[in-house]
Amino acid sequence: MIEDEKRIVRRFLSSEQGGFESLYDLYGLRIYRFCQRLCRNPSDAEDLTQEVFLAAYVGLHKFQGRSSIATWLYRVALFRWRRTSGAPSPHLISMEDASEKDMMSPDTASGELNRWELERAISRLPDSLREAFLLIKVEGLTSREAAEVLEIPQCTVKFRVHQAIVRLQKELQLIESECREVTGNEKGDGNRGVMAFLPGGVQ
Amino acid sequence: MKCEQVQQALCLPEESMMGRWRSLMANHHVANCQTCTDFQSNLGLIDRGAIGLRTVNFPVELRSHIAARLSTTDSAAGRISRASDASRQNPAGRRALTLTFAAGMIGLLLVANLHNNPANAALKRMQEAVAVVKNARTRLFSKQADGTLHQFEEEWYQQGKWRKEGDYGSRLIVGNTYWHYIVKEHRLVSMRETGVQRSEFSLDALTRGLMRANTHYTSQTLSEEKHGDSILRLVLLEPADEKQRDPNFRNLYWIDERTHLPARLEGQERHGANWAPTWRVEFEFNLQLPKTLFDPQHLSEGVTKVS
Repeated sequence: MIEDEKRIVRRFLSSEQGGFESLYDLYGLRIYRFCQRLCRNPSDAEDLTQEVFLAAYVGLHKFQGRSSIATWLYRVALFRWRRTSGAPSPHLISMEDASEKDMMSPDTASGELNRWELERAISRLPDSLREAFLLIKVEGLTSREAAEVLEIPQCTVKFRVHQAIVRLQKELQLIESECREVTGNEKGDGNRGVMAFLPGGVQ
Repeated sequence: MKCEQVQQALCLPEESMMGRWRSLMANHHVANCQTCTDFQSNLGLIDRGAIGLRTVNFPVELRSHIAARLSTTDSAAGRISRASDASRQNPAGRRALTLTFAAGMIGLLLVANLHNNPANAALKRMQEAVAVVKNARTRLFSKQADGTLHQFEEEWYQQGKWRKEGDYGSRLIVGNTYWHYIVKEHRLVSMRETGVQRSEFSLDALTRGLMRANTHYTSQTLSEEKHGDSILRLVLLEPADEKQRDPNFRNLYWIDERTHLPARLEGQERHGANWAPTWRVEFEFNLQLPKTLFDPQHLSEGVTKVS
Protein backbone atom coordinates (compact mmCIF):
# COMPACT_ATOMS: atom_id res chain seq x y z
CA MET A 1 0.00 0.00 0.00
CA ILE A 2 1.41 3.37 -0.92
CA GLU A 3 1.93 6.01 1.76
CA ASP A 4 -0.91 8.24 0.55
CA GLU A 5 -3.40 5.43 0.85
CA LYS A 6 -2.22 4.61 4.38
CA ARG A 7 -2.62 8.22 5.34
CA ILE A 8 -6.11 8.41 3.85
CA VAL A 9 -7.25 5.25 5.62
CA ARG A 10 -5.78 6.50 8.90
CA ARG A 11 -7.57 9.83 8.54
CA PHE A 12 -10.83 8.17 7.63
CA LEU A 13 -10.74 5.82 10.59
CA SER A 14 -9.47 8.27 13.15
CA SER A 15 -12.33 10.71 12.64
CA GLU A 16 -10.07 13.36 11.24
CA GLN A 17 -11.76 16.27 9.57
CA GLY A 18 -11.99 15.60 5.84
CA GLY A 19 -11.15 11.92 6.12
CA PHE A 20 -14.24 10.81 4.25
CA GLU A 21 -13.80 13.50 1.61
CA SER A 22 -10.26 12.34 0.86
CA LEU A 23 -11.34 8.75 0.45
CA TYR A 24 -14.33 9.76 -1.65
CA ASP A 25 -12.34 12.15 -3.82
CA LEU A 26 -9.90 9.40 -4.68
CA TYR A 27 -12.28 6.51 -5.23
CA GLY A 28 -15.85 7.85 -5.40
CA LEU A 29 -16.02 8.21 -9.16
CA ARG A 30 -14.36 4.88 -9.87
CA ILE A 31 -16.57 2.98 -7.49
CA TYR A 32 -19.74 4.70 -8.72
CA ARG A 33 -18.79 4.00 -12.33
CA PHE A 34 -18.20 0.33 -11.58
CA CYS A 35 -21.45 0.12 -9.61
CA GLN A 36 -23.38 1.78 -12.41
CA ARG A 37 -22.28 -0.81 -14.90
CA LEU A 38 -22.92 -3.66 -12.51
CA CYS A 39 -26.41 -2.42 -11.67
CA ARG A 40 -27.18 -1.05 -15.16
CA ASN A 41 -29.12 1.67 -13.42
CA PRO A 42 -27.93 5.01 -11.96
CA SER A 43 -30.29 4.92 -9.03
CA ASP A 44 -29.24 1.44 -7.91
CA ALA A 45 -25.62 2.43 -8.53
CA GLU A 46 -25.99 5.31 -6.08
CA ASP A 47 -27.42 2.97 -3.47
CA LEU A 48 -24.63 0.50 -4.01
CA THR A 49 -21.94 3.18 -3.87
CA GLN A 50 -23.39 4.35 -0.58
CA GLU A 51 -23.27 0.82 0.73
CA VAL A 52 -19.66 0.46 -0.32
CA PHE A 53 -18.56 3.56 1.57
CA LEU A 54 -20.64 2.64 4.59
CA ALA A 55 -19.06 -0.80 4.51
CA ALA A 56 -15.68 0.88 4.23
CA TYR A 57 -16.45 2.87 7.34
CA VAL A 58 -17.49 -0.21 9.27
CA GLY A 59 -14.88 -2.60 7.96
CA LEU A 60 -11.86 -0.62 6.86
CA HIS A 61 -10.09 -1.32 10.13
CA LYS A 62 -9.94 -4.93 8.93
CA PHE A 63 -8.16 -3.81 5.79
CA GLN A 64 -4.67 -5.25 6.04
CA GLY A 65 -3.02 -3.37 3.26
CA ARG A 66 -2.03 -6.42 1.25
CA SER A 67 -3.93 -5.03 -1.70
CA SER A 68 -4.79 -1.47 -2.65
CA ILE A 69 -7.80 0.27 -1.17
CA ALA A 70 -9.24 0.53 -4.66
CA THR A 71 -9.10 -3.24 -5.08
CA TRP A 72 -10.69 -3.69 -1.68
CA LEU A 73 -13.50 -1.24 -2.49
CA TYR A 74 -14.15 -2.87 -5.85
CA ARG A 75 -14.42 -6.21 -4.11
CA VAL A 76 -16.89 -4.83 -1.58
CA ALA A 77 -18.97 -3.38 -4.42
CA LEU A 78 -18.93 -6.61 -6.37
CA PHE A 79 -19.87 -8.90 -3.52
CA ARG A 80 -22.55 -6.57 -2.21
CA TRP A 81 -24.00 -6.31 -5.68
CA ARG A 82 -24.04 -10.07 -6.07
CA ARG A 83 -25.74 -10.44 -2.74
CA THR A 84 -28.38 -7.73 -3.16
CA SER A 85 -29.16 -8.52 -6.77
CA GLY A 86 -29.65 -12.13 -5.92
CA ALA A 87 -27.07 -12.96 -8.51
CA PRO A 88 -26.10 -16.59 -8.45
CA SER A 89 -22.51 -17.57 -7.99
CA PRO A 90 -20.44 -16.52 -10.96
CA HIS A 91 -21.61 -18.00 -14.22
CA LEU A 92 -18.84 -20.27 -15.33
CA ILE A 93 -18.02 -20.47 -19.00
CA SER A 94 -17.01 -23.95 -19.87
CA MET A 95 -14.19 -24.60 -22.24
CA GLU A 96 -16.70 -26.33 -24.52
CA ASP A 97 -18.45 -22.99 -24.92
CA ALA A 98 -15.30 -21.49 -26.27
CA SER A 99 -15.67 -23.37 -29.48
CA GLU A 100 -13.84 -22.54 -32.63
CA LYS A 101 -16.88 -20.79 -34.09
CA ASP A 102 -16.74 -18.33 -31.21
CA MET A 103 -13.28 -17.43 -32.30
CA MET A 104 -14.60 -16.21 -35.61
CA SER A 105 -14.46 -12.47 -35.36
CA PRO A 106 -17.18 -10.52 -37.09
CA ASP A 107 -16.35 -7.15 -38.44
CA THR A 108 -18.45 -5.25 -35.94
CA ALA A 109 -17.91 -1.75 -37.12
CA SER A 110 -16.11 0.20 -39.71
CA GLY A 111 -15.69 3.36 -37.63
CA GLU A 112 -15.49 4.05 -33.92
CA LEU A 113 -18.02 2.29 -31.73
CA ASN A 114 -21.21 3.95 -30.67
CA ARG A 115 -20.95 4.35 -26.90
CA TRP A 116 -24.55 3.41 -26.33
CA GLU A 117 -24.27 0.27 -28.40
CA LEU A 118 -21.16 -0.76 -26.52
CA GLU A 119 -22.96 -0.18 -23.21
CA ARG A 120 -25.82 -2.36 -24.40
CA ALA A 121 -23.48 -5.07 -25.57
CA ILE A 122 -21.65 -5.08 -22.24
CA SER A 123 -24.91 -5.28 -20.35
CA ARG A 124 -25.77 -8.45 -22.24
CA LEU A 125 -22.63 -10.27 -21.20
CA PRO A 126 -22.90 -13.01 -18.58
CA ASP A 127 -22.03 -11.58 -15.19
CA SER A 128 -18.72 -13.40 -14.87
CA LEU A 129 -17.46 -12.06 -18.21
CA ARG A 130 -18.89 -8.60 -17.65
CA GLU A 131 -17.18 -8.26 -14.28
CA ALA A 132 -13.80 -9.25 -15.69
CA PHE A 133 -14.16 -7.01 -18.73
CA LEU A 134 -15.23 -3.97 -16.69
CA LEU A 135 -12.41 -4.33 -14.20
CA ILE A 136 -9.71 -4.76 -16.84
CA LYS A 137 -10.82 -2.72 -19.81
CA VAL A 138 -12.94 0.02 -18.26
CA GLU A 139 -11.45 0.36 -14.79
CA GLY A 140 -7.94 -0.29 -15.99
CA LEU A 141 -6.96 -2.86 -13.37
CA THR A 142 -4.22 -5.35 -14.08
CA SER A 143 -5.23 -8.99 -14.33
CA ARG A 144 -3.60 -9.55 -10.97
CA GLU A 145 -5.68 -6.83 -9.33
CA ALA A 146 -8.82 -8.08 -11.05
CA ALA A 147 -8.04 -11.57 -9.81
CA GLU A 148 -7.89 -10.20 -6.25
CA VAL A 149 -11.23 -8.47 -6.68
CA LEU A 150 -12.93 -11.47 -8.22
CA GLU A 151 -11.10 -13.97 -6.02
CA ILE A 152 -10.24 -16.18 -8.94
CA PRO A 153 -6.91 -17.19 -10.51
CA GLN A 154 -5.21 -14.69 -12.79
CA CYS A 155 -5.35 -17.06 -15.76
CA THR A 156 -9.12 -17.31 -15.33
CA VAL A 157 -9.36 -13.52 -15.50
CA LYS A 158 -7.45 -13.52 -18.77
CA PHE A 159 -9.66 -16.27 -20.16
CA ARG A 160 -12.79 -14.36 -19.20
CA VAL A 161 -11.59 -11.10 -20.69
CA HIS A 162 -10.89 -12.87 -23.94
CA GLN A 163 -14.29 -14.56 -23.88
CA ALA A 164 -15.93 -11.23 -23.08
CA ILE A 165 -14.35 -9.61 -26.10
CA VAL A 166 -15.33 -12.48 -28.38
CA ARG A 167 -18.92 -12.22 -27.18
CA LEU A 168 -18.92 -8.44 -27.36
CA GLN A 169 -17.99 -8.62 -31.01
CA LYS A 170 -20.93 -10.92 -31.62
CA GLU A 171 -23.32 -8.79 -29.57
CA LEU A 172 -22.24 -5.63 -31.37
CA GLN A 173 -22.93 -7.29 -34.67
CA LEU A 174 -26.33 -8.42 -33.39
CA ILE A 175 -27.17 -4.95 -32.15
CA GLU A 176 -26.20 -3.47 -35.45
CA SER A 177 -28.47 -5.89 -37.27
CA GLU A 178 -31.29 -5.04 -34.86
CA CYS A 179 -30.81 -1.38 -35.69
CA ARG A 180 -30.98 -2.20 -39.37
CA GLU A 181 -34.21 -4.13 -38.82
CA VAL A 182 -35.79 -1.18 -37.10
CA THR A 183 -34.61 1.54 -39.40
CA GLY A 184 -34.47 -0.44 -42.58
CA ASN A 185 -31.14 1.24 -43.16
CA GLU A 186 -27.49 0.76 -42.93
CA LYS A 187 -25.92 2.06 -39.76
CA GLY A 188 -25.54 5.80 -39.65
CA ASP A 189 -27.77 6.47 -42.60
CA GLY A 190 -30.66 8.48 -41.29
CA ASN A 191 -31.98 9.73 -44.59
CA ARG A 192 -33.93 6.77 -45.82
CA GLY A 193 -36.57 4.24 -44.75
CA VAL A 194 -38.39 4.74 -41.47
CA MET A 195 -36.47 7.87 -40.64
CA ALA A 196 -37.01 9.55 -43.98
CA PHE A 197 -40.13 11.40 -42.94
CA LEU A 198 -38.77 12.63 -39.67
CA PRO A 199 -38.29 16.34 -39.22
CA GLY A 200 -34.63 17.19 -39.25
CA GLY A 201 -34.66 19.41 -36.24
CA VAL A 202 -36.22 17.04 -33.75
CA GLN A 203 -34.69 17.42 -30.31
CA MET B 1 0.32 -20.97 -31.95
CA LYS B 2 -3.42 -21.38 -31.87
CA CYS B 3 -5.83 -18.54 -32.54
CA GLU B 4 -7.09 -18.57 -28.97
CA GLN B 5 -3.59 -18.24 -27.51
CA VAL B 6 -2.80 -15.36 -29.81
CA GLN B 7 -6.08 -13.61 -29.13
CA GLN B 8 -5.70 -13.95 -25.37
CA ALA B 9 -2.29 -12.36 -25.65
CA LEU B 10 -3.74 -9.57 -27.78
CA CYS B 11 -6.41 -8.88 -25.16
CA LEU B 12 -3.82 -8.12 -22.49
CA PRO B 13 -0.69 -7.27 -24.47
CA GLU B 14 1.17 -5.58 -21.63
CA GLU B 15 0.66 -8.62 -19.43
CA SER B 16 1.11 -11.43 -21.88
CA MET B 17 4.78 -11.65 -20.99
CA MET B 18 5.55 -13.23 -24.30
CA GLY B 19 9.19 -13.64 -24.97
CA ARG B 20 10.67 -12.18 -28.11
CA TRP B 21 10.41 -15.45 -29.97
CA ARG B 22 6.77 -16.06 -29.02
CA SER B 23 5.97 -12.45 -29.79
CA LEU B 24 7.38 -12.86 -33.28
CA MET B 25 5.39 -16.06 -33.70
CA ALA B 26 2.21 -14.28 -32.62
CA ASN B 27 2.82 -11.42 -35.02
CA HIS B 28 3.49 -13.89 -37.78
CA HIS B 29 0.29 -15.74 -36.93
CA VAL B 30 -1.82 -12.55 -37.02
CA ALA B 31 -0.29 -11.53 -40.32
CA ASN B 32 -1.32 -14.84 -41.84
CA CYS B 33 -4.67 -15.41 -40.15
CA GLN B 34 -7.68 -13.41 -41.27
CA THR B 35 -9.65 -14.38 -38.15
CA CYS B 36 -7.01 -13.00 -35.82
CA THR B 37 -6.46 -9.94 -38.00
CA ASP B 38 -10.18 -9.15 -37.74
CA PHE B 39 -10.13 -9.90 -34.04
CA GLN B 40 -7.24 -7.49 -33.50
CA SER B 41 -9.01 -4.79 -35.50
CA ASN B 42 -12.26 -5.16 -33.56
CA LEU B 43 -10.37 -5.40 -30.29
CA GLY B 44 -8.87 -1.98 -30.96
CA LEU B 45 -12.35 -0.52 -31.39
CA ILE B 46 -13.60 -2.14 -28.20
CA ASP B 47 -10.53 -1.04 -26.24
CA ARG B 48 -10.97 2.56 -27.33
CA GLY B 49 -14.70 2.34 -26.65
CA ALA B 50 -14.06 0.93 -23.17
CA ILE B 51 -11.75 3.81 -22.34
CA GLY B 52 -14.46 6.17 -23.51
CA LEU B 53 -16.80 4.59 -20.96
CA ARG B 54 -14.66 5.94 -18.14
CA THR B 55 -16.53 9.21 -18.36
CA VAL B 56 -19.89 8.98 -16.61
CA ASN B 57 -22.43 11.39 -15.19
CA PHE B 58 -21.22 11.38 -11.63
CA PRO B 59 -24.05 12.56 -9.35
CA VAL B 60 -22.72 15.44 -7.34
CA GLU B 61 -25.19 15.04 -4.52
CA LEU B 62 -24.07 11.47 -3.86
CA ARG B 63 -21.25 12.70 -1.67
CA SER B 64 -23.63 14.49 0.66
CA HIS B 65 -25.97 11.51 0.76
CA ILE B 66 -23.17 9.24 1.85
CA ALA B 67 -21.88 11.83 4.27
CA ALA B 68 -25.34 12.13 5.77
CA ARG B 69 -25.62 8.39 6.23
CA LEU B 70 -22.15 8.16 7.68
CA SER B 71 -22.88 10.97 10.07
CA THR B 72 -25.74 8.95 11.53
CA THR B 73 -23.42 6.06 12.18
CA ASP B 74 -21.97 5.84 15.67
CA SER B 75 -19.03 8.13 16.24
CA ALA B 76 -18.78 8.97 12.60
CA ALA B 77 -19.77 12.56 12.89
CA GLY B 78 -16.25 13.80 13.17
CA ARG B 79 -15.25 12.14 9.94
CA ILE B 80 -17.59 14.21 7.88
CA SER B 81 -16.68 17.80 7.42
CA ARG B 82 -19.34 20.34 6.76
CA ALA B 83 -17.69 20.81 3.40
CA SER B 84 -19.85 17.94 2.26
CA ASP B 85 -22.92 20.03 2.75
CA ALA B 86 -21.75 22.39 0.05
CA SER B 87 -22.35 19.75 -2.55
CA ARG B 88 -25.99 19.67 -1.55
CA GLN B 89 -26.32 23.08 -3.08
CA ASN B 90 -25.12 21.81 -6.43
CA PRO B 91 -27.94 20.43 -8.53
CA ALA B 92 -25.76 19.06 -11.30
CA GLY B 93 -26.64 15.50 -10.38
CA ARG B 94 -30.22 15.81 -11.47
CA ARG B 95 -29.83 13.02 -13.92
CA ALA B 96 -29.52 10.67 -11.04
CA LEU B 97 -32.97 11.56 -9.90
CA THR B 98 -34.88 8.97 -11.84
CA LEU B 99 -38.35 7.71 -11.41
CA THR B 100 -36.91 4.67 -9.76
CA PHE B 101 -35.59 6.88 -7.02
CA ALA B 102 -38.68 9.00 -6.78
CA ALA B 103 -41.14 6.19 -7.03
CA GLY B 104 -38.93 4.31 -4.68
CA MET B 105 -40.15 6.55 -1.97
CA ILE B 106 -43.52 5.01 -2.57
CA GLY B 107 -41.89 1.70 -2.00
CA LEU B 108 -40.88 2.72 1.42
CA LEU B 109 -44.50 2.21 2.23
CA LEU B 110 -44.12 -1.45 1.65
CA VAL B 111 -41.70 -1.64 4.49
CA ALA B 112 -43.43 1.02 6.51
CA ASN B 113 -44.34 0.31 10.04
CA LEU B 114 -48.09 0.43 9.60
CA HIS B 115 -49.61 1.50 12.85
CA ASN B 116 -53.22 2.37 13.07
CA ASN B 117 -53.06 6.09 12.38
CA PRO B 118 -54.75 8.19 9.68
CA ALA B 119 -51.55 8.83 7.74
CA ASN B 120 -50.68 5.16 7.54
CA ALA B 121 -54.22 4.27 6.58
CA ALA B 122 -54.02 6.83 3.77
CA LEU B 123 -50.73 5.37 2.59
CA LYS B 124 -52.16 1.89 2.61
CA ARG B 125 -55.19 3.02 0.58
CA MET B 126 -52.84 4.76 -1.83
CA GLN B 127 -50.86 1.56 -2.29
CA GLU B 128 -54.06 -0.27 -3.22
CA ALA B 129 -55.27 2.52 -5.51
CA VAL B 130 -52.03 2.73 -7.48
CA ALA B 131 -52.14 -0.98 -8.18
CA VAL B 132 -55.32 -0.64 -10.27
CA VAL B 133 -54.75 2.55 -12.24
CA LYS B 134 -55.53 2.52 -15.97
CA ASN B 135 -52.66 4.77 -16.85
CA ALA B 136 -50.31 7.26 -15.30
CA ARG B 137 -48.35 10.36 -16.11
CA THR B 138 -45.41 11.39 -13.97
CA ARG B 139 -43.32 14.51 -14.20
CA LEU B 140 -39.96 14.68 -12.49
CA PHE B 141 -38.30 17.86 -11.32
CA SER B 142 -35.00 18.73 -9.70
CA LYS B 143 -33.54 21.87 -8.23
CA GLN B 144 -31.51 24.18 -10.41
CA ALA B 145 -28.60 26.36 -9.34
CA ASP B 146 -30.97 29.29 -8.89
CA GLY B 147 -33.15 27.27 -6.56
CA THR B 148 -36.03 26.79 -8.98
CA LEU B 149 -37.30 23.37 -9.99
CA HIS B 150 -36.67 22.15 -13.51
CA GLN B 151 -38.63 19.36 -15.16
CA PHE B 152 -36.16 16.90 -16.63
CA GLU B 153 -38.33 13.90 -17.36
CA GLU B 154 -41.91 13.09 -18.21
CA GLU B 155 -43.28 9.56 -18.35
CA TRP B 156 -46.52 7.91 -19.33
CA TYR B 157 -47.65 4.41 -18.55
CA GLN B 158 -50.49 2.49 -20.12
CA GLN B 159 -51.22 -1.19 -20.62
CA GLY B 160 -47.73 -2.43 -20.01
CA LYS B 161 -46.05 0.32 -22.02
CA TRP B 162 -43.82 3.09 -20.80
CA ARG B 163 -43.12 6.21 -22.81
CA LYS B 164 -40.36 8.47 -21.53
CA GLU B 165 -39.38 11.88 -22.73
CA GLY B 166 -36.69 14.11 -21.30
CA ASP B 167 -33.00 14.63 -20.82
CA TYR B 168 -32.30 11.02 -21.79
CA GLY B 169 -34.21 11.43 -25.05
CA SER B 170 -37.33 9.74 -26.33
CA ARG B 171 -37.79 6.18 -25.18
CA LEU B 172 -40.42 3.51 -25.22
CA ILE B 173 -40.52 0.24 -23.31
CA VAL B 174 -42.90 -2.46 -24.36
CA GLY B 175 -42.49 -5.77 -22.61
CA ASN B 176 -38.84 -6.53 -22.84
CA THR B 177 -38.23 -4.39 -25.92
CA TYR B 178 -36.60 -1.02 -25.49
CA TRP B 179 -36.91 1.65 -28.18
CA HIS B 180 -34.74 4.70 -28.24
CA TYR B 181 -34.65 7.55 -30.69
CA ILE B 182 -31.11 8.90 -30.98
CA VAL B 183 -31.54 12.51 -31.97
CA LYS B 184 -27.92 13.17 -32.84
CA GLU B 185 -27.83 10.27 -35.26
CA HIS B 186 -31.42 10.71 -36.39
CA ARG B 187 -31.92 7.05 -35.78
CA LEU B 188 -34.47 4.81 -34.12
CA VAL B 189 -33.20 1.65 -32.49
CA SER B 190 -34.79 -1.15 -30.55
CA MET B 191 -33.30 -3.92 -28.55
CA ARG B 192 -33.96 -6.64 -26.09
CA GLU B 193 -34.14 -5.06 -22.68
CA THR B 194 -31.90 -6.84 -20.24
CA GLY B 195 -31.72 -4.22 -17.57
CA VAL B 196 -34.16 -3.24 -14.90
CA GLN B 197 -36.51 -1.17 -16.98
CA ARG B 198 -40.11 -1.66 -16.05
CA SER B 199 -43.06 -2.49 -18.26
CA GLU B 200 -45.59 -2.63 -15.48
CA PHE B 201 -46.98 -0.08 -13.12
CA SER B 202 -47.45 -1.14 -9.56
CA LEU B 203 -45.88 -0.26 -6.30
CA ASP B 204 -44.16 -3.59 -6.29
CA ALA B 205 -42.62 -2.95 -9.72
CA LEU B 206 -41.69 0.59 -8.88
CA THR B 207 -39.95 -0.38 -5.71
CA ARG B 208 -37.87 -3.15 -7.11
CA GLY B 209 -34.38 -2.70 -5.80
CA LEU B 210 -35.43 -0.69 -2.83
CA MET B 211 -36.62 -3.50 -0.69
CA ARG B 212 -33.11 -4.25 0.31
CA ALA B 213 -33.15 -1.06 2.30
CA ASN B 214 -35.13 -3.02 4.87
CA THR B 215 -35.86 0.11 6.78
CA HIS B 216 -38.98 0.75 8.81
CA TYR B 217 -40.75 4.03 8.35
CA THR B 218 -43.32 5.98 10.24
CA SER B 219 -45.71 8.55 8.90
CA GLN B 220 -47.79 11.42 10.16
CA THR B 221 -50.28 13.82 8.63
CA LEU B 222 -48.93 17.35 8.59
CA SER B 223 -51.95 19.06 7.11
CA GLU B 224 -54.88 18.80 4.75
CA GLU B 225 -55.00 21.22 1.82
CA LYS B 226 -57.91 22.01 -0.45
CA HIS B 227 -57.11 22.04 -4.19
CA GLY B 228 -60.19 22.67 -6.31
CA ASP B 229 -62.59 19.82 -5.64
CA SER B 230 -59.93 17.72 -3.99
CA ILE B 231 -58.54 17.58 -0.52
CA LEU B 232 -54.89 16.65 -0.41
CA ARG B 233 -53.50 15.05 2.69
CA LEU B 234 -49.90 16.01 3.30
CA VAL B 235 -48.04 13.06 4.82
CA LEU B 236 -44.53 13.12 6.22
CA LEU B 237 -42.62 9.87 5.89
CA GLU B 238 -39.47 9.29 7.92
CA PRO B 239 -37.36 6.41 9.21
CA ALA B 240 -38.68 4.88 12.39
CA ASP B 241 -35.17 4.81 13.78
CA GLU B 242 -34.35 8.35 14.84
CA LYS B 243 -30.66 7.76 14.23
CA GLN B 244 -31.39 7.32 10.56
CA ARG B 245 -33.26 10.58 10.24
CA ASP B 246 -31.62 13.59 8.71
CA PRO B 247 -32.92 16.72 10.40
CA ASN B 248 -32.19 18.72 7.26
CA PHE B 249 -34.13 16.58 4.81
CA ARG B 250 -37.63 15.21 4.66
CA ASN B 251 -39.91 13.41 2.22
CA LEU B 252 -43.55 14.30 1.78
CA TYR B 253 -46.57 12.87 -0.02
CA TRP B 254 -49.66 14.68 -1.13
CA ILE B 255 -52.47 12.15 -1.32
CA ASP B 256 -55.81 12.88 -2.89
CA GLU B 257 -58.41 11.97 -0.29
CA ARG B 258 -61.07 11.40 -2.95
CA THR B 259 -59.15 9.01 -5.22
CA HIS B 260 -56.57 7.84 -2.66
CA LEU B 261 -53.93 8.34 -5.35
CA PRO B 262 -50.69 10.26 -4.86
CA ALA B 263 -50.65 13.73 -6.37
CA ARG B 264 -47.12 14.68 -5.51
CA LEU B 265 -44.00 13.35 -3.89
CA GLU B 266 -41.36 15.77 -2.79
CA GLY B 267 -37.98 15.82 -1.11
CA GLN B 268 -37.32 18.96 0.89
CA GLU B 269 -34.28 20.55 2.41
CA ARG B 270 -34.24 22.77 5.47
CA HIS B 271 -33.33 26.41 5.04
CA GLY B 272 -33.40 27.94 8.49
CA ALA B 273 -36.96 27.76 9.67
CA ASN B 274 -38.31 26.95 6.20
CA TRP B 275 -38.27 23.97 3.88
CA ALA B 276 -37.51 24.14 0.15
CA PRO B 277 -38.01 21.38 -2.45
CA THR B 278 -34.92 19.72 -3.92
CA TRP B 279 -36.80 17.31 -6.14
CA ARG B 280 -40.41 16.56 -6.95
CA VAL B 281 -42.54 14.02 -8.75
CA GLU B 282 -46.05 14.94 -9.83
CA PHE B 283 -48.54 12.21 -10.61
CA GLU B 284 -51.69 12.13 -12.69
CA PHE B 285 -53.75 9.05 -13.29
CA ASN B 286 -56.46 7.70 -15.56
CA LEU B 287 -56.03 10.19 -18.39
CA GLN B 288 -57.02 10.08 -22.05
CA LEU B 289 -53.67 9.34 -23.71
CA PRO B 290 -53.21 9.30 -27.52
CA LYS B 291 -52.28 5.92 -28.99
CA THR B 292 -49.40 7.46 -30.89
CA LEU B 293 -47.69 8.09 -27.58
CA PHE B 294 -46.86 4.39 -27.41
CA ASP B 295 -46.11 3.87 -31.09
CA PRO B 296 -42.38 3.57 -31.82
CA GLN B 297 -42.87 5.06 -35.27
CA HIS B 298 -43.89 8.29 -33.57
CA LEU B 299 -41.08 8.27 -31.06
CA SER B 300 -39.08 10.92 -32.86
CA GLU B 301 -41.89 13.43 -32.92
CA GLY B 302 -41.58 14.27 -29.25
CA VAL B 303 -44.54 15.22 -27.16
CA THR B 304 -46.03 18.65 -27.37
CA LYS B 305 -49.17 18.39 -25.32
CA VAL B 306 -50.99 15.60 -23.59
CA SER B 307 -54.32 16.31 -21.95
